[in-house]
Amino acid sequence: MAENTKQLANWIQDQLQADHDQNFALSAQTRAASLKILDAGVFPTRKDEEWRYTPLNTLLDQNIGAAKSDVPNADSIQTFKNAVPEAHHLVFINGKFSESLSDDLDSVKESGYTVKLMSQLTSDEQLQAEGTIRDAKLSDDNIFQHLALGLSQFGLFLDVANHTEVKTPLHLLNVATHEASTSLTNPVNVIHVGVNSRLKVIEQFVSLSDAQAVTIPASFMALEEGSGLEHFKIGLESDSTDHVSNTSVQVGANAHFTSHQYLLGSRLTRSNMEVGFAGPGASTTLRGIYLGDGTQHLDVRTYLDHAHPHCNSDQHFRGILNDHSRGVFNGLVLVREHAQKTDAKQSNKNLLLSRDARVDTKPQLEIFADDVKCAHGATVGELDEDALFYLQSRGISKEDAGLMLTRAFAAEITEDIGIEPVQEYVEANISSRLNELSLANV
Amino acid sequence: MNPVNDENSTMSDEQQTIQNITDQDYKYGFVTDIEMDEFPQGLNEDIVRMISAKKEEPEFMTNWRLKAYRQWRKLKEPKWPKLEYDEVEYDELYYYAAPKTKDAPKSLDEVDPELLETFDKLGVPLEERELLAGVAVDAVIDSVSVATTFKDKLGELGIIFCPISEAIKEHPELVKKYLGTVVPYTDNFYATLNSAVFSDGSFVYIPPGVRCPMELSSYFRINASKTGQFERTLIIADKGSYVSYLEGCTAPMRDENQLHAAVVELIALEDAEIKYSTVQNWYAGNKEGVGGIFNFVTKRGLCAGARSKISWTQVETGSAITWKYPSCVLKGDNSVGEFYSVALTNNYQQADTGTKMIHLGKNTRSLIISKGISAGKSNNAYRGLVKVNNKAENARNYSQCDSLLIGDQCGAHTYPYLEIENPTAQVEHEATTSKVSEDQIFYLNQRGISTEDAVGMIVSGYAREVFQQLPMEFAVEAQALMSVSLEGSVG
Amino acid sequence: MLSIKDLQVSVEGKPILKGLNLEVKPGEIHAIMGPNGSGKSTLAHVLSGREGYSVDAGTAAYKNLDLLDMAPEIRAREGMFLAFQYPIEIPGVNNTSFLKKALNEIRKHRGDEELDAIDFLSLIKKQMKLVEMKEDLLKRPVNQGFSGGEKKRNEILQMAVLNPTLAILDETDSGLDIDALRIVAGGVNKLRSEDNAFVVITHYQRLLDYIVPDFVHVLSDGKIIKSGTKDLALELEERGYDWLLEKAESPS
Repeated sequence: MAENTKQLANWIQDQLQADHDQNFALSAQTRAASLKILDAGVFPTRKDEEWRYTPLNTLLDQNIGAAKSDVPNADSIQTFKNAVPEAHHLVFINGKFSESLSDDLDSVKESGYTVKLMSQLTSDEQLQAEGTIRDAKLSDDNIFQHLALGLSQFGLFLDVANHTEVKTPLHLLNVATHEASTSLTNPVNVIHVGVNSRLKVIEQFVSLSDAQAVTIPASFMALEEGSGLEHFKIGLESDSTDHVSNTSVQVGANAHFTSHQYLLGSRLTRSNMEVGFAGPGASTTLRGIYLGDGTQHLDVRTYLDHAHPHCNSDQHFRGILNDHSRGVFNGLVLVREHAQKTDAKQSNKNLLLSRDARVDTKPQLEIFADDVKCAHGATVGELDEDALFYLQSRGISKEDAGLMLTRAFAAEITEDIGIEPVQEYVEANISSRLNELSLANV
Repeated sequence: MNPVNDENSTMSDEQQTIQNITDQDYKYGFVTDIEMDEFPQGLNEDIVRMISAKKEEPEFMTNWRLKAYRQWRKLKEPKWPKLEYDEVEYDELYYYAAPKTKDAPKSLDEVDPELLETFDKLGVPLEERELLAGVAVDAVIDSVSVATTFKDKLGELGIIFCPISEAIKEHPELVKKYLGTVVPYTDNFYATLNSAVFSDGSFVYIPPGVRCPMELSSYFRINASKTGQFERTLIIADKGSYVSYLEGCTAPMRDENQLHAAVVELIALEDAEIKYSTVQNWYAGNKEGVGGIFNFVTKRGLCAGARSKISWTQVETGSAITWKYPSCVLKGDNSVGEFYSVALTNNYQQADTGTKMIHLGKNTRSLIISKGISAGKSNNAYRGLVKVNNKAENARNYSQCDSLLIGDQCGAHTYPYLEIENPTAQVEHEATTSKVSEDQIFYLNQRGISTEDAVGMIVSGYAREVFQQLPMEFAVEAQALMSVSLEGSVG
Repeated sequence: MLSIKDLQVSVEGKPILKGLNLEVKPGEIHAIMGPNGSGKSTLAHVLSGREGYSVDAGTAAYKNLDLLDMAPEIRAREGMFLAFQYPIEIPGVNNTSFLKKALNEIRKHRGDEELDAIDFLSLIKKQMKLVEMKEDLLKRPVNQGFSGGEKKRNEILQMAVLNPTLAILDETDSGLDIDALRIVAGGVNKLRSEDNAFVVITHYQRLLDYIVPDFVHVLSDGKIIKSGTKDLALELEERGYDWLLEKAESPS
């Protein structure tokens, strides 16, 4: 083990020792490689190009306590469920599936649609789930992903058979409840969407009161030919929460993957999304907002691998940074040789609302094919003074004008959500966050 | 064997033409046979002392070099650029090579005729009467400056334009005050090495209020085998002055890689303006990627005074490897930094180039226009940083970084870094990728223009914004250079 | 001047022209009309040497040269001009310097002396009046930021400057309003002489009100199914193409 006195590293070591008497989400075979990497215990530092703007000190110093098993009462989470009224709700308390708070798993099932806890998979299902994980081409450097793969006890497997449209969206509500000590949650979720099938998944991360948590989820998604998956992530965790997520997506020929990320909470969030195209005609739309206040640190990384011709990607992320918060956008579009007729768009716009807010953005292109359309753009600025003045001249206070313009800035992303109640919920949360901000500098 | 040959059977006429264009030879690849004065191979403190002694330098310089040398021994070559190459064997290089002369030439009449002929062949005639009107030249071959023209005329205005070795002796107070203030000897692996072993380069000082009446120009040439060239240029524009400076570079064709690690420091005081243009055409290696110059260059300008301006323009067509980021530190309030770049890579060339704009002062502005052109099997990366410091109120930056790909074997990459710590900043980065389309070529063909010319026109059109920044006569030269460098590239 | 015999052309294995014959003599204007997909633009592209068309049979002789064997730029230098249906934008390449280069290449080819900047400018200014083009369009990059009408006028300006022997106008009228159409046609009319010829490809009769053809050919399914005088165009205007198509299909 590398010399490392960090709490998280110690916790990992403890888990590695205690390994044998626990139930893990994945098979020993799949876990083995990850355990080796965990044992080496090398965490990235800011010298690593991919972590240049995001220090991990606070996260690594979290003192992880034993998992609490008491379940909160249903009322306390109802408001989060209301985000997606017409959905199947599955609730996870500190990572663990709560049967009492969730819809009946049997009622969730539609024909051709499997929703199962990782721990309850048949051996065939487990083979399939772990196959999807292996297809994701894991990197040894991504220790957080291995933390989930190697040590996760929880996770969910969603499988949509070929030619199946799942009508009801699935709402995964992750609730953190620890207050006295920090909970660590590292679920592994696998989503497989069959040929020409459709699925919508809304993942929400929330805290009860001021819960302390380290959340390190790893998700693996595979879209077969002609299929569609819409994935929404809403982060509303308390400012005692650190969140490092890894999402790996393989998009088959003519399939379309949509991702929306709304990072509104937590102390530190690092959201890494890697999308690979596995066949021609695949496409993806990525949207996101990171809204920071206080000393929040919100980092979005995207990595798009255009490995086949005629694939399109369209990314648009916006940052709103207030107070001492920091935003990071680190996006890379790779267009491999032979990926002709690629159309890749990448846009990142940032609004700095205070003197001490900061944004670092790095929109990157690596292109090895000539007949492609690739464009990226990034902007950083404050609110448009002319627009502010215009609103003021119509009798609106400067502060309200600032709020209006900031909301409008965010709305250009949220208007693409496409599920009305979810859009309303996200916009309401953005508004209430903005109302809390002291827009002193506007 | 050229791998492209395998595909000859399927090559269209158009590809063939492109092949032909790209197969033209590097016309500056000759070697001048002159007797050389070389130090022993390798690098140690003695060599550093010998260089300093050879140059009859004052003690402060010797000590500065030694500090740099000791620092360099602690450093490792950076690995972050998108470049792949065999490691440079620093201990097998010659760190000093100079044409043998008894004494430094006092005037052009004393310069070895063979050398004058070399520069003639390169299109850099040193005889003053033959010079393009209004261009003064400092010619540097391998490690030393061999001739500086128009010195007297410039001297009348108080302008100092001389080899830096001479400036160290004649104007130690200026050198001591400014050398290493923009690029400290600790800056980076290559700059630190340069600080230890640089042997010559150009020095320019423009006194307050003087507008330099002619283009100043340095011409760098590597001639000797297995040598590294480490020139160092220092340009100081005092308050309210203006200077436009141009450098050109060539080297013979050799199948070994040669190292070039230069440092350029620019200092613009209050209301001063420096325009620095480079046409870099070091030998790029052959079509299989053998040989060519490794060009690791640190160029940085400090807009020290209010309302000062530094503008970099570069046309990079040569070198096997290019690693350079001409940068501006915008310290003075209302100062302006600009970077205009055309980087063209062909065959197996690799370039990782761009700029850094560091906004420190209030109301500072910067502009970045980068045009990358990749052809053959080359890789061309733009890497740039725009940093707005917390105190830099109302900073403005606009960056446009475009890539043009010619053929499907090459790579074009864009790595912009935007680090913004002040809400009053307005920073905007845009990048696009395009190719030379068959429609465009056909359209020009249909008007009677050959494919070869059509490609040249389209590429020049693409790079036009940058060429417009060059002094007229060099803009023409640069355009011609582009066509030559594009040989064999379209398909 | 132009003699096309049994020309058969396919694109990616799909036959487009299926045995086309056409004779054009100096001083003549030929209109080629036909419904969409009949092969009109293919004909223009094949004659000017565009890649991607495979000539499966037949010949095309131009000034007794084997046209199909010549590179596009050589065809241009020999006096063949194609006014593009969709003129191409070429960023950064100045309209004037492009045209000067083209003209001088053609002059060189003919053995004429190249024009210097001053002579060229006076020539181009004269010809610009012909197409009523704004002078600032000369300073802009080729076709970039031009409106549809401006692009078409630019094509005619180029034609006027390059002074071709045989000009092929590929649907030059498409997307033009009536004023622009009048100007473009006026340009052509001023350029016509006993020594040159025009092939005007169009879908509508409207252009032929302004450029009066000597011959009108109807192209359908890759063949010329009927030839006549300008009256044929008027008849097409009235009756459409269908009556001709039916006739062609019925065994005679």
